[in-house]
Amino acid sequence: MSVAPAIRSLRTAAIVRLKEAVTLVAGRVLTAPIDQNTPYPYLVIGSYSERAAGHYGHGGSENGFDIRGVVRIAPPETGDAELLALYEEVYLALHEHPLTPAGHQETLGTIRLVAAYRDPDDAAVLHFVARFEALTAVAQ
Amino acid sequence: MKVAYRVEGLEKVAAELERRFELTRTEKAALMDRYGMWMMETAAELSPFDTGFMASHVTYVPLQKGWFDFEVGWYRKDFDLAGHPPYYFFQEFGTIHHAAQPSLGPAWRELSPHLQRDAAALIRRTMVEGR
Repeated sequence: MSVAPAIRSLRTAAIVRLKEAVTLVAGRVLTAPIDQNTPYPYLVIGSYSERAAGHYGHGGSENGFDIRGVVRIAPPETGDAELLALYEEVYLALHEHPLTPAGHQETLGTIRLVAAYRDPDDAAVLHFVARFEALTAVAQ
Repeated sequence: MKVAYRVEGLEKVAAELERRFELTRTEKAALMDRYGMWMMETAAELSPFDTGFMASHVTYVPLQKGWFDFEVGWYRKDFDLAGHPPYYFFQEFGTIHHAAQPSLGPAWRELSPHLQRDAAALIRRTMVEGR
């Protein structure tokens, strides 16, 4: 049973999907380091993990990464509606949406909301962190 | 026509179930202790190291309320007493100026498959096999 790393190709497929489906960020789906002049809102992909796992007899792995959504509230807005709207777009883009990482079979990943918080350095900036997890299997 | 059933010997079954239940309760507490300490040590190893305050203050709390539970993390009061803001949360998830440097999440993802396997084996041995 061969096991091919999937996290890089899975991340690429997810980023392509986020860029086309999450209209609020206008293509700003980033990885660290983030340019401090990046306009809000944007998404940051990070905290990757991958672990080899059996998948119906084929080589595969359990993969995951965090998606951090960042918005800046412009006065007179004060609430978190914009943050939650961004989270909804991310959820609808990736949760159980078919992705096909290069060299792997189509997979359906899941999204769960992990945290939402105000930035410690700028009270007008809000973050959410969502975890995307998917089981991948090597293409036959 | 009237049919009556009489079942005898249930006391022995109940006693055996109680014995297995207590065996499971005792052993799962030891299992949670082992994994709680392991998770604490792993999170400390993965903590961002500047002053070492985060690594030295990650804490394990044996809850023992439910069946398989424990807490590992940082206490706000420890940071307050040392005059630090609660930056452990922002280290885990990131801010606009600092990328996330998570330690709890990776520690849990490392240990949880082992915990699931060991917990399943414990229940099978104590509750199902009774030894």
